[in-house]
Amino acid sequence: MKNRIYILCIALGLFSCKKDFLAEQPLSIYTPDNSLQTTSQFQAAINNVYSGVRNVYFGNMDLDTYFGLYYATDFAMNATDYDPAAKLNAYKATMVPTYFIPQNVWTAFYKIITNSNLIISRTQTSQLSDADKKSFTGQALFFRAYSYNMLAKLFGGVPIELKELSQPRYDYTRATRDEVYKQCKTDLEQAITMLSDIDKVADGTVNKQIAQHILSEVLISLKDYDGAITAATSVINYSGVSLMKTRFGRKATLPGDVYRDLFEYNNQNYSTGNREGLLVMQTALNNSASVGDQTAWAVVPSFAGLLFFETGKDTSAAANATRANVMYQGKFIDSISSNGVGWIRPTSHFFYEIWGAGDIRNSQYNIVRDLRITGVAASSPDYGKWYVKDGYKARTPGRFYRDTIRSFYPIIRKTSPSAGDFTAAAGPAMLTSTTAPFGGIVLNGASRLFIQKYVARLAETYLLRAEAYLGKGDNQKTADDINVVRARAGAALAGPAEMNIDYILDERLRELYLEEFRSATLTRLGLLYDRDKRYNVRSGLSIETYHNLWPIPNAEIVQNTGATINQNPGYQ
Amino acid sequence: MNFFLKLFAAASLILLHNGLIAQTGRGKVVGIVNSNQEQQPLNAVTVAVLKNSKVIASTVSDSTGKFAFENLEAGSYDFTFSHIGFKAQALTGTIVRQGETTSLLIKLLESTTEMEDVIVVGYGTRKRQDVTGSVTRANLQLQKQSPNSNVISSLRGTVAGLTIGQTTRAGTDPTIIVRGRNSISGTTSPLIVVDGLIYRGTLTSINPSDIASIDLLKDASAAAVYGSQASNGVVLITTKTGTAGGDKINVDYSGSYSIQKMTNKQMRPASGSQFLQKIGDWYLSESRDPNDPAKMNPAWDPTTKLSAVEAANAKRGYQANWWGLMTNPTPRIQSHYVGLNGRTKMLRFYLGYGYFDQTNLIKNDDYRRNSIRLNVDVKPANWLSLGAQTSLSINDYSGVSPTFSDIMFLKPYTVPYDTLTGKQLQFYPTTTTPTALEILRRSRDLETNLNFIGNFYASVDIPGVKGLNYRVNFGNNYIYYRRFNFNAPTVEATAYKTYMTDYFQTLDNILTYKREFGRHGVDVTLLYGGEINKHDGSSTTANGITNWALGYDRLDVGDPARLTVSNDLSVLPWKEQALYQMARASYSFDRKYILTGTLRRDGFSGFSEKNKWALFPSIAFAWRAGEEDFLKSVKSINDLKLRLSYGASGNRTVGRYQTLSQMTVGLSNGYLYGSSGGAQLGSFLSQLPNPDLKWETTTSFNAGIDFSLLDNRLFGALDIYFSNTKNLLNSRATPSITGFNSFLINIGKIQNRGQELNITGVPVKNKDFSWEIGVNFFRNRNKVLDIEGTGKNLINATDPILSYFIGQPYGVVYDYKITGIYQMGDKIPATLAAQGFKAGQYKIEDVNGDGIITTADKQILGKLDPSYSVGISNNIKYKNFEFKFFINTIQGGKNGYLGAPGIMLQNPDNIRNNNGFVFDYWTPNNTAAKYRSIAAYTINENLGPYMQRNFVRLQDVTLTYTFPRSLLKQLKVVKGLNVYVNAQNLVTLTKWDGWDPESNPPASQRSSTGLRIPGGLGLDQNGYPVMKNYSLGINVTF
Repeated sequence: MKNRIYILCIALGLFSCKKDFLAEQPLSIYTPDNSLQTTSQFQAAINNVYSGVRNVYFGNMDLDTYFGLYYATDFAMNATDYDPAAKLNAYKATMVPTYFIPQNVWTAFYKIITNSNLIISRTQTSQLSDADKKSFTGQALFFRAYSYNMLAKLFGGVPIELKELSQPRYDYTRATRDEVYKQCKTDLEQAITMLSDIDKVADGTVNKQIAQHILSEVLISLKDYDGAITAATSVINYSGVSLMKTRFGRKATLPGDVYRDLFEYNNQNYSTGNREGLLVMQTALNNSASVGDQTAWAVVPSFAGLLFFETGKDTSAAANATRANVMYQGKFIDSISSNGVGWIRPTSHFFYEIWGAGDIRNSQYNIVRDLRITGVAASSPDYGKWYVKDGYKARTPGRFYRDTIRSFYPIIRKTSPSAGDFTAAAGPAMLTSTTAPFGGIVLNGASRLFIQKYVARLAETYLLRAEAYLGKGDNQKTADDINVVRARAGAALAGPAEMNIDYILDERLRELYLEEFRSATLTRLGLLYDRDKRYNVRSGLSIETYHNLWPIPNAEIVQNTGATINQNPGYQ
Repeated sequence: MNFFLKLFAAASLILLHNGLIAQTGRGKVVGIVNSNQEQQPLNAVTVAVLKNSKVIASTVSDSTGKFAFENLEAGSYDFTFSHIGFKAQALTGTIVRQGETTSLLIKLLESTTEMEDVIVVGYGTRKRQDVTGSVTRANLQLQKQSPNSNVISSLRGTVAGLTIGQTTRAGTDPTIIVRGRNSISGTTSPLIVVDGLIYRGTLTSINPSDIASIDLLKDASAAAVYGSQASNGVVLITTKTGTAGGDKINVDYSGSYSIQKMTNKQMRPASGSQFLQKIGDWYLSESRDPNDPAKMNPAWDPTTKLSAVEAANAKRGYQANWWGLMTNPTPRIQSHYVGLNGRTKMLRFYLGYGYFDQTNLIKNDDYRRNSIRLNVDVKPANWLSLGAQTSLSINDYSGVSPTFSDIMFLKPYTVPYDTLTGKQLQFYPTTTTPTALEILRRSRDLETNLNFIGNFYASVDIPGVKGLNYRVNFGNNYIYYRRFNFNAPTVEATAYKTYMTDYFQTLDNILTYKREFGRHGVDVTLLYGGEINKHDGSSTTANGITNWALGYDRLDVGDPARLTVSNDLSVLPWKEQALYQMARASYSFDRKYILTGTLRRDGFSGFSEKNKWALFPSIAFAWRAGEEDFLKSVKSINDLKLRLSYGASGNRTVGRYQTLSQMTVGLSNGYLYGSSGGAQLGSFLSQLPNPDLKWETTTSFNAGIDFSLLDNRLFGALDIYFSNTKNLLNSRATPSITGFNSFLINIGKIQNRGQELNITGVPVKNKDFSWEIGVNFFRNRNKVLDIEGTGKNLINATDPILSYFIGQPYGVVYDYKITGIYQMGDKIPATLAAQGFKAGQYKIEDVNGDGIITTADKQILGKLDPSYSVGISNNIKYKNFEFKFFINTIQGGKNGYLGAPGIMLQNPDNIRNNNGFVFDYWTPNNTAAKYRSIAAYTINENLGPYMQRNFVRLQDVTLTYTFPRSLLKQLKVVKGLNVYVNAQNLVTLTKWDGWDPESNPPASQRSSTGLRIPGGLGLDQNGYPVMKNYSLGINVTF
């Protein structure tokens, strides 16, 4: 009997625990060991960093967060929660440490930093060629600096992390704002030595000129105006870049102007002849590594709600049902802009106070200020009349006024394609087959547009250099740089006596509306309170001086258990 | 595969070896065992021969009830007979004479006390009286007639310590928790074991009619045999086998048809006039009389806020009944089952076919199951049994159902028909947007899964070593899943095809030795086994399909640039392996004192290199006090047993690949360069390496009493337990400066303690009339002892139910306390007004008194778990009628069982823009409302009051009529026949606001700001209703 048990034991022993039986086999999981070795793998890693920046620029991180980089400023307000004021329109109640907008922006940039750190650290030990090492490290250093610069602009001093982590940390403290800017300077200066010139890289790739451009802004923040001027000048003087002064690109022969050409679909990349864009965020319709942009949908008013009383009809409350659409089927046509919902509502300051005569940036090709009425039968006396010019807007009874905050205001075309582009930019689902009465095709409600966007243009480099000259007190040179930009736009030239930071901020609005993240520009200069108070009829009511910096997200403070991250003064 | 081959080699070696053994002897005993009641021979009765109180031989009866002992020495013997469901019986002083055959005729009585049941304990069975741990056999009869698609739902409320959620969507599994929560990130579902093998498919794909019994292992000592997967308890499901006797085949048919109604009928979309009222309540300043905000302004016209088309419809009174258009008028369930079973001397079989068909309330929320099961046991020799449990179930979930929110949000004046002709429209008037109905009509969907089970076993009684048995179980479970979908919301359609397979294989070698030596009893089980689980799959999506003729069957006709292959890790292949050993030894003395010890060692591929193996010991002791002489004389005590146990069990929690550093690679985070640049992949570090992660360990102490009193008219069990879980896996929030929002750590400690009482009384028991009443009571308290090793509270800055406080229960609500609603004319301090507080908004308690509301004003409002639950069953029989009803209640006690019914209400923008159900919100003329004004919000859009989910439910009522035997005898073919009417969820008494207090929102559901939802389905636009069922059914046995 004992023998038998013995045999049994041997039998069981045949499959005694072999070690490799329990070895884990990650069938569909990549690990850094098998995925950060070759050139193409590092390319994938840097692609993700570009994608992270694009998520910010295209609102892909979160729409409200993205819009928060534009509104509650002198440029715009939130039109969805206008009355009673809510969200960022009620600035003091909303912009608190627990609000999701600062948290989302913070997280988005630190993720870019983390992934840049990974590339910087892994390239050192990799088998890449020297050229590849330089290229990937240079790009990663640029994005790390770009992100820290954005964080410092919005939040002031932030914690600095430059290493690839193998364990989480809980003991961060804030560096000073200057220390953060200095880190950006260090990274950018190193990146500049590693990156190639703009004409020697593929479209959309980080290059020496964009790095110098950002360095210029960083040095202004460090009050190193001479350094900033040198950096900006090296961009401006580089032979491969220039302001676009004559018509160019796909729509060059159609009525329009060169400013509109800069924003036409597919006119942004260097290879298409554009010499002004320094770094262009890439996207393409029906490309699975692309995302669409929702800016147009947010900044274009909501037309479905734009109604008017037909001439001769009863305007009393009881007759509401007799109102008619201003636009045919209450929809946009592709020659004006894509459909919108009116989420970002620019201020009166932007629409009505900053423009002078002749400025093409305010031309009918760039900001549409009137529409023809097409939502009635052709036999109606109102048919084809102009909604503003012919007094229809003025005749709208007061009780409908509130809706017009979203339903009608001038239409910024900058983020929309033009007639004929919609299939290419937004897909066939965007277009109906219906022709609108005065030309153009009626659009469906699709919102995502696949148009490339500028991270920076050379025009801004001039404005940065102007800012540096102003910092040095050289008003003449300030005016000279500003006038380069104004001259291209056909605007009257400015004199040195007019130069001050407000003028530069207004010029930035005129040149860079819906391009620059206005909140970051204003916090960089410590002027968010001042400009918002003056020009924003909603958030300006409750904004206070301490709002010149965004609050450090509360979760970062609470979850950093090993050390203290101090909150910006004024926030509770 | 190699691994399994070797295991088989081992099994066959043993079989060969056994064939060589022969026997000798001098006397002979033959006999027949019959059941007393039905006079039918009983199969598989264990018959033991004892000489001087020692078991010297044992056998089992065959299908004709016959058994034999061929070679016994002449002399006097005792015999014992035991069988599942029957009272054990002893026969003393049987004389065997040389050369003669002694015949025995035994009648076994069906067991009347639970104590004598044979129950499944994991890798073996035991008589209840010998069980040392906390093991409960579920009563499948209590809600048998309710039309549940899975067997566990029919146990809801019936077993103390087992908490089962409601299912609301067709064909879904309920949530199950055993004895409170003892994991934060891990599963709280028990391990499911079917026919001795761990089962990883869905419960719904097992036909409840195929199930013979369910046993539940609740304490660590009982569950410890399953080691690292046992800390949430184990549910042991045993499927049917052949029971019909005497070469006969029993044929059973049962069928039922149920109609369903919503339990909460109010939750329907607002009508046109209600919708307009809501518009007015949103535009409060305009819609009210300027002098008296409680009055409407007669001049106000809500249609000015609508689009021109809607306004015109409103004026003319045209509205759409979206509810009617998108729900089934007659939701129903039908179920049919045919079962055959039989046995012969060498063969037992069970064959069952089931059909279940549910058409739920929402259109296309359907579930159909076809299932077939064949269980076969063969006994080619008296020392060898072979068998298989096989099944196939085909589950069909096809059809795209609109989400509930679709139905709720569609506005009544958005009309999908031509208002002049009444004809259905393809597009909404004056648009090119297809109507919601049109989109449904265009869509095509196929979702099925096939679940194959093939479990094989061989069992060898090793001759020569009495009581030694070797058994090998080889489990195969293969699941094939398909989902094809075609959706065309615009001119461009999207379609995808997903295929997935799962293959779960298990091989267990079990050696048992069970023998009695006089007053000493030994029962040893040794286990050596392994498991390989594999998954594979792929999913392809085509976009931009303009030729719809072939639907999802031609993905290639979409835009080639947008043809994508999924990188979803739940689709892509994975593999995990486990190896384990277990030893269980039990020693009993004098059949009164029983000591059991178990040790389980578990190795799992998902554990890190540092922690590949886990060890789980346990020990238990039972004292059958009822057998002591001093209690035997007490007539009122029929049986009494005391149990004590202590042991450790684990929760794997750490899943496969969780300890590895991971990169996510895909196009969705990739990039392109240049206008016509191709899509390039992007990759990023998505998980930091974590070599320290390991299983969670729960140690628990259990003390219990099993009793049967007053001539078995009162019986039950009382258990108290304490458990401590340590190394809790928790995702610790990190500063996102690290690039990660959280990191997994293994550090927390939670304590659970509770009491369970099951008691059944039989107040009346006559020939014609009997009444049985059962009560179960369950109470659990838990407490967080430590959360991150520092003894500090862990406060989640945003989510109110993810903060942990030392000394408080797990799952507290940490949020603002709402003390009321500001009314018109209330004086609101300027500091609060500046924060946006005004009339119609919640008043929040300012805890620190600083005049403003900040996160410092959050406080612990209560806990999510209930205080106790009670289930009461009644079963009254009068002649051929049986009436039973079941009442279930869960009570929160003080500030317990909290939910937030309003947390899923939409934010003010969307409330205005969408339709929804009518709920009790504040307006100047509804000042006593439960919820704030819909027009604006303060602090946080998900702010809302918490309330208790307490309820009392009349869960099941059944009246059955059984046709008398005398009548059936004339019919000849029919052996048994009964018909019944049943109602489920008939009455629910609760103050809860919304769909149902007992339903849980899906784990993935989040509020609009990303918060996790506490339990209970409240005013959730996307909630699914709990249904009342009225059923009519029949059971026939041929």
